[in-house]
Amino acid sequence: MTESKTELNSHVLYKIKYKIYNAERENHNTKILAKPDMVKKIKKIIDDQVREGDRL
Amino acid sequence: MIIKSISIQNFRQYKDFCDVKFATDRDKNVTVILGLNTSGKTTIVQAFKWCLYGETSFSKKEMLLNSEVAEDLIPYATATIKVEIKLIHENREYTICRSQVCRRTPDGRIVYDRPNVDLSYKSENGNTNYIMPSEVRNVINNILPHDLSDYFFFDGERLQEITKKDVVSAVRSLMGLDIISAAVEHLEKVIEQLQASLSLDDDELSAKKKNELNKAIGERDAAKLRLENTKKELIAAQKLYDELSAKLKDTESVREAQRERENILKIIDGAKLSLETAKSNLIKDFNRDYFRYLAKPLMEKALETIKISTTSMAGIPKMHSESIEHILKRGRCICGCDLTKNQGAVDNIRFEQSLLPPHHIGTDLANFNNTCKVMLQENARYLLNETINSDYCEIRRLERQIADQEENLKEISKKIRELGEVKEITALEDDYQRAKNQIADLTRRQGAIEQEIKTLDSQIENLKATIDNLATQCEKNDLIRRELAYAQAAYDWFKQTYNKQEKEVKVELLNSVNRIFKEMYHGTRSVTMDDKYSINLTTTVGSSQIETEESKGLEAVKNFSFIAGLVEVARNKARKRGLTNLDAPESDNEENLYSSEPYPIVMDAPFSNVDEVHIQKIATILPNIAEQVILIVMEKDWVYAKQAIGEKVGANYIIQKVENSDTHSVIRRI
Repeated sequence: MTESKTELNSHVLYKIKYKIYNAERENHNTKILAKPDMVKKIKKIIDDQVREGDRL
Repeated sequence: MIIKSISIQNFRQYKDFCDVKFATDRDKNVTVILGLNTSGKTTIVQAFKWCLYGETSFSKKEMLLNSEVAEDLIPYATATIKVEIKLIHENREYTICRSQVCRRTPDGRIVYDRPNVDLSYKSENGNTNYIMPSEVRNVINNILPHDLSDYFFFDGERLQEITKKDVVSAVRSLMGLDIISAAVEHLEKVIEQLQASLSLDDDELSAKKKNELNKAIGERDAAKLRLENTKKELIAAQKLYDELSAKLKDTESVREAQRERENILKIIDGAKLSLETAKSNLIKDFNRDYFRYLAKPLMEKALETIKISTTSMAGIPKMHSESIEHILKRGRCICGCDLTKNQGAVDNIRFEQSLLPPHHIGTDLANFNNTCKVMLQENARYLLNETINSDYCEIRRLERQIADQEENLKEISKKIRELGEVKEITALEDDYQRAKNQIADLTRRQGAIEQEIKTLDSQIENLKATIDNLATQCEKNDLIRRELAYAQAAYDWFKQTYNKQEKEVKVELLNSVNRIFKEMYHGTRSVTMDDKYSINLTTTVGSSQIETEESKGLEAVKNFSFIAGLVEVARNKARKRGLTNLDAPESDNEENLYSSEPYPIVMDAPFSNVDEVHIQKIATILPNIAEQVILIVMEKDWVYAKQAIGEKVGANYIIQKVENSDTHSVIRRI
């Protein structure tokens, strides 16, 4: 865990943070999305970004 | 964001169409709306919130439609509530119009349709562009975040008492803590889920299967080696077998001779046995018939001699003189005649007795004659001569055959002696048989090894497939581990951000509050905020800060300072574009800078329950905390405030109740 953490791509991490923040803000502002969906959404954001990072 | 105007219709008390144009001039940026109690001051602030965010803080949400309009509504008729705000944001003029259709049902109820929002802006060429309905909410939030709206559309009654809850919620919404704490909460769940989806067993299983695979491959290689060896052995055995076969082929003639000899021996034995039988047949046949054979000429002669034709000689055949004696003794003839009374018959019988043996030879001669005749007749059937002859011929034939075969035997034995030793051939045959067995054995073994290799091959294939599957899972695990690391890093970041921003906002808020407080209050007191968000006034005595007692007026000033500070921080926050405080790897920091966008403050009854001195002080500070001030106040309070900010007022309105009605007000410009 700590080993792979050192390999984290800062750009990918930034994108993840940014997207989670925006997703949360949208949720917070609109209160349309249910919370369990947020968990899924965040998981997907992380997944997508990590995969995208892999492609890069 | 600067608000240009608001127009209201059918919204609560505002039955008629009311249009309020706000002061937007930089020097005269204050708009004052005067109103009595219950005239509809709070309704104006609520109209802003309803138009922008679709919400109000009225206890009865369904009472938005003007009561008089609602009362007049006949079944199936409709009325529309409408609030329209015009504002300028980032040099673009937006028009936000929220409307809601209400209808009377046949059973007398009033039903509200879903509110409709239209958001449009004027582009540089003067065209009106409409924002997609799905984007409206986001665009409004971009203009003025919903979270911060409470500090721009301010309920004056909250000035009276700033609660700890207010501070906490202010700090939370100002620093986006709700968002970040929600993100932290969700990230915790994400991390939990990711950890749960890690399949550690698969890694171990994969290693185990790999070991099994290596073992199977090793076994297969060994089996292949064994197969090679077996094949070599088989080739060698085949060679030996071929050699032995060739040798045996050479000795085939010997064996054939041997077989022939055995046959001859068998024939000889059989012939000898037949000879014995023939000999015994000859003797048997002779013994049976020799008497007749020898007696035949004698009997013919005797018959010639005794050929005497006399009937007198002939007695009663087979009758004996003793039989006659018996008949005479009993006195009764066989014909039933009483002999005692018939002497003639007795005499006749006595004559017959005289012809019978032993008294008469004639009878015996007659018997002999008959016997000879019978014998001669029988003799004609027995061809003794021929029988004996044929028996003898058979004996001779057999004897010749035996002699011939013995001659053959001698020749063959001589040949065998010439060809070689039988023992050697047997040994050769043994070797040949052994080689044959060995070949069968090796072939069997080869088949078994091939089968074993086939089994191992399929086992290896299966193991490879399993390992491939597991490898996919292992790859998945690797990905999950990376995701987990990112999620953890994001989680740590959000946590850190939470702490950092909380601290920053608290410091910023406290600085603003203190600055504003000092502008309004000229003394040594200052505002402090502890870790638990309690606001206190302290004064410096010597070198230490001590808490001070507060008068009601001082408390009002303190609270207003706090509100003004909040508004200031909120304004700064709203001015920040994009995502705040994200430690971006790229240098897009410019985006995070404050913009110079102006912001309004709409205050409802800010001076209620505040004395005239403080009204003036509060009023003085108001134009400094916002570029546009919209005050909705009671006339009695405005008298004092006017002295402080009168010259900044750009627009004046008054709310009037129509015919003193509580349900119908209008706003007029003065």
